[in-house]
Amino acid sequence: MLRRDIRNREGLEAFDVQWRDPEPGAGMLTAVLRVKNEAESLPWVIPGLLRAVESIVLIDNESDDGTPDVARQVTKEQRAEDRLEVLQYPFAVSRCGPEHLETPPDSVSSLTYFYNWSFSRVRTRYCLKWDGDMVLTVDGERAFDELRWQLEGVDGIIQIPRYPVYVESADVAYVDGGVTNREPWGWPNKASFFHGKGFEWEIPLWPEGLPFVRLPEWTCFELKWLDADEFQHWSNVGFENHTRTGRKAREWSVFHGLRDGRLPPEVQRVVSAGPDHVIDLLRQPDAARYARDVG
Amino acid sequence: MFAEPCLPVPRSLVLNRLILIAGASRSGTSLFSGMLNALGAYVPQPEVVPDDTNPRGFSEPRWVVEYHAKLLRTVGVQVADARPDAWAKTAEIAHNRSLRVELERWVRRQFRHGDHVLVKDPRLLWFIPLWVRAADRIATPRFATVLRHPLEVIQSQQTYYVAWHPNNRAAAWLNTMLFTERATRGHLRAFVPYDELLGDWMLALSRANAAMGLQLVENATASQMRLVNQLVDPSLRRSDATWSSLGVDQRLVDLTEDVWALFNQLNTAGTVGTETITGLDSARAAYVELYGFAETTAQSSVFAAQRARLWSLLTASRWSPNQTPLTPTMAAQKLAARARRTGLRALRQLGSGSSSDGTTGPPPVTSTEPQRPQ
Repeated sequence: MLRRDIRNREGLEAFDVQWRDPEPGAGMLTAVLRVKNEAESLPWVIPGLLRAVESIVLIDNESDDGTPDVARQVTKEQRAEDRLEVLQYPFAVSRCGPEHLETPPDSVSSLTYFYNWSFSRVRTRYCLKWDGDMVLTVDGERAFDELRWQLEGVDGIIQIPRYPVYVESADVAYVDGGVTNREPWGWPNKASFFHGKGFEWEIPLWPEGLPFVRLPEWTCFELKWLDADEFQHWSNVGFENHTRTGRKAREWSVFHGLRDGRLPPEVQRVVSAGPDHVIDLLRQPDAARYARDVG
Repeated sequence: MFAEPCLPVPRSLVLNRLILIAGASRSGTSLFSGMLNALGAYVPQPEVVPDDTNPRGFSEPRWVVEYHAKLLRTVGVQVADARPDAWAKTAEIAHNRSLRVELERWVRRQFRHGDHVLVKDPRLLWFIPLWVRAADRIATPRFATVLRHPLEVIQSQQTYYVAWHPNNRAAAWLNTMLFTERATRGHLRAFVPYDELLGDWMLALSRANAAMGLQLVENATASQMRLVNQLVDPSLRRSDATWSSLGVDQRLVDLTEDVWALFNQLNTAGTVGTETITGLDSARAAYVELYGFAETTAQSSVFAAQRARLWSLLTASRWSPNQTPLTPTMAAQKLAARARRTGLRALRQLGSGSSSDGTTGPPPVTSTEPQRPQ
């Protein structure tokens, strides 16, 4: 099955999905960030990404915390303004779960549509799905740097392990080794790669039989701020009902456990005793032990 | 006084889900079945082989197709039969013990492969009571009917099968859909809009899953969802036929559109207010009346056709110039005797309860109706 241009049911031509093939000279990797109110996370997310990929496409979905400005500022500090494209997606996108299920996939309010529109902006050979709270580790940056040439002769799916990190303060965070998520996060920018609708969220589609390229265990971690509402993008939180939402159920339980002052099983407390922010500490290669020790 | 013992519901009846797809051919049942199959429902093997009319496959167990075809031949009913009295012809089959036991054994074997067994065959709708009885001690049956606009169904049938008159196609759609709805009342069932299957299949599947009390959606993996997404061919879109281009009589058009509107009032689970149910009951009555009118009006044609066929059958092989000329009455008597002999033979074969393993027996069944030559 091949992707095709999509006209949205609302008739908003400016937001029709129009796929384009990779452009010569555009490079290998583009990270596509679909973000809403990620101003707090982006200073840890963008610098590492800029060291790992050629381009970043950041799609802002109605943030009210200055997310686009933070993205531009951080990129400017890295002297990489020409590698960041910031776009606005001015529609309320259905939240994961039942709200998503009830939304037709050709509506601008659909997660599926939002993803297809976002990925249609990519001009490099590969695209990376990247969340606005995913921080690359030093090992991860190195792995991506190598991937830029390792992928030249292959169409494969990039699989990245990811651990949740709950941040309490600049000095204290918690690594959950009880859940590892090895999702597909990257794929070729080709006609047979696009997004379809899943029951709770969108799912990437690709032809059968492709090789998987698995990155190291401590490639990245996902920030969860204990003082924020980390579940606002879900329309229900009855995660126990489905086998697919087991990871979310775990996150819900750990998040609320930590907020209530309990240390859930398989979660490790990490303290930065020196001047470094605890997130910077966790980016270092030896921090992999937090995941490995308990995972 | 003793309290009546409360028998526990067998565990298998709770866990085993027999999904029966009952609906007109070319209405999207293959697509729907393929999706359920992709989500983990087991389609008994071997299946009918795909062909040009359905290159992605039918999801039809070959054993079931042959079993149904044999039963239909015995009672002289077509897959898409427009006669309201055909239901009475197939009714008796549900009471035939050996047939039921044969089916029951087959159903039981299929649940060795999983707790969701999917059976699809356009002939199945004629034997709903038989399936319910056969599943009695094994699984709770659940029925699914795909709702595709009859105009598109007829257009598709005319394209892929040997052409019957579109009037007859419309009548057959009315007959099968109205009586299938009636037969599945009181059971877990789902009415699945074909347009939704093409436009928002995950929502359609989720609703059908809930209506039939299945566990396929809850347990689906990302790979299975990916497979479902890849089943929908974007070129599967509506046809541009109109009633007038097909030449369907206005009385049939009116009734068909009324019935289509009633079906669209049903929610996915087919549980609606009494008004819609009453409407469907009235529509069945109206159809029976309309068909009766057509049948009685065409009596001369039917009689003439029967006589011409009978005459050609007997004279072609038997008559020679030296024989006494065959009168129509003599011919009718001879044909009746032949029919009796054939019928007795067929009944004897059915009653024997012999197993029809899909790997032996008649040549492979490859489609639901005779196809147009390519």
